[in-house]
Amino acid sequence: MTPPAADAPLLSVRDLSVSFATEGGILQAVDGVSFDIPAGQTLALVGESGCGKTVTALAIMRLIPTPPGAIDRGSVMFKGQDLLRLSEREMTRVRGGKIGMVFQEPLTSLNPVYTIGAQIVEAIRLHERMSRSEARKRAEALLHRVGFPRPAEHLGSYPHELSGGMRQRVLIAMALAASPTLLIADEPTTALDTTIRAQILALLAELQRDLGMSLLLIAHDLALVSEIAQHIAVLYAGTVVETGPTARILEAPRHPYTRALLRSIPPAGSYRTRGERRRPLPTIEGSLPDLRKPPIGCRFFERCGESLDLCRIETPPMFETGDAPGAVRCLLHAPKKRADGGAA
Amino acid sequence: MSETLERPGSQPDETGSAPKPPRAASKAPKPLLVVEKLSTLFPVRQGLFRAPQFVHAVSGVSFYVRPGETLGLVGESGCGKSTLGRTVLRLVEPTVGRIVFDGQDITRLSEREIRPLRRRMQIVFQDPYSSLNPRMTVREIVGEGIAALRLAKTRREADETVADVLGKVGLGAEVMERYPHEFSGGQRQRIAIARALAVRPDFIVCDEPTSALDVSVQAQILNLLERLQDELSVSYLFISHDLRVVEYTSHRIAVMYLGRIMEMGPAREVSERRLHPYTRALFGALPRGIGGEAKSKRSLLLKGEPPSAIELPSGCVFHPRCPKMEKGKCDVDVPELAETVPGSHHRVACFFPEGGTMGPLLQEASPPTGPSGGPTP
Repeated sequence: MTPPAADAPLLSVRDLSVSFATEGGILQAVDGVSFDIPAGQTLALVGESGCGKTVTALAIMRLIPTPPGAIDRGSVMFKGQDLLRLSEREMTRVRGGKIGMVFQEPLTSLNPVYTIGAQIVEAIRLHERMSRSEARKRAEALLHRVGFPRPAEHLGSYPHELSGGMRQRVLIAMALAASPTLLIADEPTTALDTTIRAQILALLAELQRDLGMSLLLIAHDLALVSEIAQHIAVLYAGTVVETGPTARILEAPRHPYTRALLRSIPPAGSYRTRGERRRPLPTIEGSLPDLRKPPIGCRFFERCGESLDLCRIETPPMFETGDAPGAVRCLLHAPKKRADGGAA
Repeated sequence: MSETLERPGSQPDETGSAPKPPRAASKAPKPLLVVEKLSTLFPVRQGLFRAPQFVHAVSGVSFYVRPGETLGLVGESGCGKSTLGRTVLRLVEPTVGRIVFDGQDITRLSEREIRPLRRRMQIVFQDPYSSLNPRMTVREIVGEGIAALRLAKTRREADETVADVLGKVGLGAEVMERYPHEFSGGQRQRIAIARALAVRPDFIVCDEPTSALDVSVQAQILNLLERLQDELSVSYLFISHDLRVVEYTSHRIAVMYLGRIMEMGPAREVSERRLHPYTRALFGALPRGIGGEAKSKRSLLLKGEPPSAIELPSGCVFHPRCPKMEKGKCDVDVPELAETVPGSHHRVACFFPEGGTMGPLLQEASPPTGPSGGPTP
């Protein structure tokens, strides 16, 4: 079903660090993030707001506004070349070419004064030498591919005439215009309704499988990404704290943060009974550390229920999870051998 | 005490066929809020000389909320759940129907007549970033209702109430002089809850109170709302698009689609039996990763998107998307919201409700299967 080349990642991010100059000092939004996306598979980058997941995606695409932002160090290896070393001109060919992008808000990502047909045609002709009529044919095929029943009619529609779900389909069609090998989707379903969300996720999974693409899915909802991602990387305060196959992360999370995050989701099958009090949901007390002055030790130390004294002063590296696939950035999982660098 | 054990006949008729006043039952407390056949329509003019058309935001909705109870109202955007919440509070004018609060018909009360009741009915909004005035201190925000309704004799008494209610929501009195921008989303939502609580209400409409928050913060707010209810016996109308949250927080659930209630009943009943095909679709769209739902119970991936609330479909409003639609019936007649088993309090508006233990419908919703069906124009 999936290409066997799991050992040769399509995208390999190593030690990526991004900072922003703010009034209060330098904010280290992403600090030494590493992960791999195997060819033809889906990796979900998961975390709560402020964890650096969107900044990571923008850095991969070299879309960090500079200044105030800056990519301080690291590498993003894609098909044998480091995207961070490419010239701006070369990078323009990669963006929307070999790497497609879909963002959260489908309304603001489309130009309201052009028809969707014109916008898809533009996206196609930007990357492929093609006549207008050929491009229009291809646009029609793309719309059909993303689930428009009568694509020819919809080419003439304006964004405001479409619902949120349909707009997101248009954006996915545009992202597919140049047949990318990697699709980056940043919270592609967050603005959508429950039943439409299921449709869009199903579409992404199907496209990923049928076109043999890799998918980098960025989301805050662990349960949601578990539907279509083979691998998960959990981010906290700008660092990857745990990586591994989806099933392992959900069933046997190792990092105290991942565990706490999963526990705070309202469980199914727990109902209220009148006149009876029940135990509150487990929460994560405290708040994110100030990333202008990141703590020396573990970034989750202040909020961790399982911390050791050592955690305050020692920065934990990534450890292999031993008996199970994946890696975790936590001293509780220390001994044996180190696996710094993080493997997805 | 389980809801299903309660005696039949103790509740007002939710189908609204006869607007009789709620009878006092021996055990079940009298409903605090009774809504009967409520409709809210908004006119839309599509041209100067054309007759106005109407958005049927809420159509003939009936339900009740008991003291100390949470009724969860779940549905997708545009289904009318927020309009319903606002109509019940008379923030939006109802077109037809009746709203009875604590035995008093408030449907047509003037703004002056309703003023004393405003204290007892409050609302918490979704977005804690826009629902708090950025130029007011926490003291002013939380104390505003106390001042407006003259609930305190002196300024000191008002401040004591504010400090007390801030304590209840887990904030210290030291935050009183601070402004909303100094707080995180979760803390702001605590301030919004404190503002609602300050006037000691009996009933709070919670309109998507956790939708703008991260999961770990959501858990804190859900815990807070539940603890406050346990302590103060306040009733909630809990509006959300998130079925997982509604199922967890509510004693009873009402599922809304295009302005109508499709299914309503005790949370466990609705969640585990899913009599209406739409309820089934909503639950089916939940990710299965956590909570370990068995695949066989998962249901269909719904085709298309909800139609416009201006030109409502004939018959059952769900029929154009319904996998069980039968021509000549579902597209002609409107199903009543009726109890499946008398006395069960589990009501469904469907001619062909599910058996309750039946398997999946039509398509399996596991992502890799087939196209999800195109959006309907």
